[in-house]
Amino acid sequence: MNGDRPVTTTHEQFQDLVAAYAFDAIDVHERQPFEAHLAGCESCREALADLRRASVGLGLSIDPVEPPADLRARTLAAAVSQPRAVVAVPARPSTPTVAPASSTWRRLGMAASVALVAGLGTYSVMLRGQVATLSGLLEQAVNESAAVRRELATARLDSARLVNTISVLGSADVVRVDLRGQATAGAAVGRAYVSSNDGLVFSAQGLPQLQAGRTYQLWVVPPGSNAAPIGVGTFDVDASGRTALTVPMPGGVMAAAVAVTEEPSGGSPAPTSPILLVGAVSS
Amino acid sequence: MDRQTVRAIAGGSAEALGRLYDRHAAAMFGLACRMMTRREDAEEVIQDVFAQVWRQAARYEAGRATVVGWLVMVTRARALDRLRARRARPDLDGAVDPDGAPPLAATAPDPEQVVISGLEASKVRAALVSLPEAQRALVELAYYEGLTHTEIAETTGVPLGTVKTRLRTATIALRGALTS
Repeated sequence: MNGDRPVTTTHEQFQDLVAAYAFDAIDVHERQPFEAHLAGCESCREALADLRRASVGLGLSIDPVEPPADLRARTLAAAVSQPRAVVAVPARPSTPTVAPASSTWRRLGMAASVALVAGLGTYSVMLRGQVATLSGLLEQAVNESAAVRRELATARLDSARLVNTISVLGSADVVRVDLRGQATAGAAVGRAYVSSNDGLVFSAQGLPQLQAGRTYQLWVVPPGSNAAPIGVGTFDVDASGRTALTVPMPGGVMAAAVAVTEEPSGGSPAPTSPILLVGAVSS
Repeated sequence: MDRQTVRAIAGGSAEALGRLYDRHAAAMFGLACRMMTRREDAEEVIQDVFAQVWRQAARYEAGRATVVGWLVMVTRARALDRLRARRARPDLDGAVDPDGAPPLAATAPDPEQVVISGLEASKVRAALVSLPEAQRALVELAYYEGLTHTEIAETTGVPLGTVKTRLRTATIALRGALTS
């Protein structure tokens, strides 16, 4: 090792370090003093900004090299199998401006809320009483979920989600919603198990393939004639038109109905296209 | 279009990650191959890059860098991680924990913009190629091999002070290419 000591505070000596910092070539012991200097030096910050751009430019100007054909599958499978929180599409039920324009949504909320009030208590007691049926449905839902995941080209291992699926299906306030296809998705069917406390388990089949830049979005409709649908997640379908997902429910929301629309990638704050799959909570 | 793809990735679309791979993997693999000595290591860098993209897509900010610029920064950072891990422990297989490594300058959070156009990138490349040999060699050692000042001095036998000065002179030319 040469006998160089850590840099002194003269600005010129820090100027020497800007390039090294931009290229990540700065010595470990010089990094901290340099960052301290940078905080108070406009001209070094400007130089650093330029050199960072140059750094990106150098990277961009390398000739591309075609990776081996099998690297794609390995890379994508490893990437998507990382543990990942399920993120509900942001939607703010407290914002009055997202009231649904279509009367279809209002009728949905109204009709279902009647059934909800009349039938919910009875239904959940009935459901809890049918232990054998419930564990059969649980096994079926878990198997369906597992089969769909295997079918997907990029297997998505999410043990946290599987645990949530089981807790939704076993929760005291779970209700079942059978969904029927509408309009251009007439052949689609779906099923949702909804627990206001524990989340929503959804599966469907027969949905048409999505075009580029589009996604399916799942909505819950609270009871009441003016209730705005709340987005709870987006999803795509595999080559056979199937999907399965488990999402958290927004706090304090009860579902009178569950619906699916097609939206631009990333989802929308409110539905912008016709309902493709819908079902009301049944008693 | 790239920004939409990253948004879709942030929303959980594996298909969108595949699209990003199809568009940019070759460019990033070229950079990784230039930096790593072995092909297998370059392949692992690509895996690290797309794993990071999947984890951090929600944090990508369109105003700060183009998507491809962001990918370049991630690729360089992950390649440098592996290079340095291997140098520190050549007996190990270079396994790294990207989330455990200290942040590198190129990926440290800051409000600066790192947007650069294709034309600017080729100007920078042209400036690099036309540097005097001694300066160009140093830039390449720092940029592609990830050597620090001290490591360059030790490897080349050039005194440390000279390394610093030459690097600074070289980068003045690179900065000039951006503003010309």
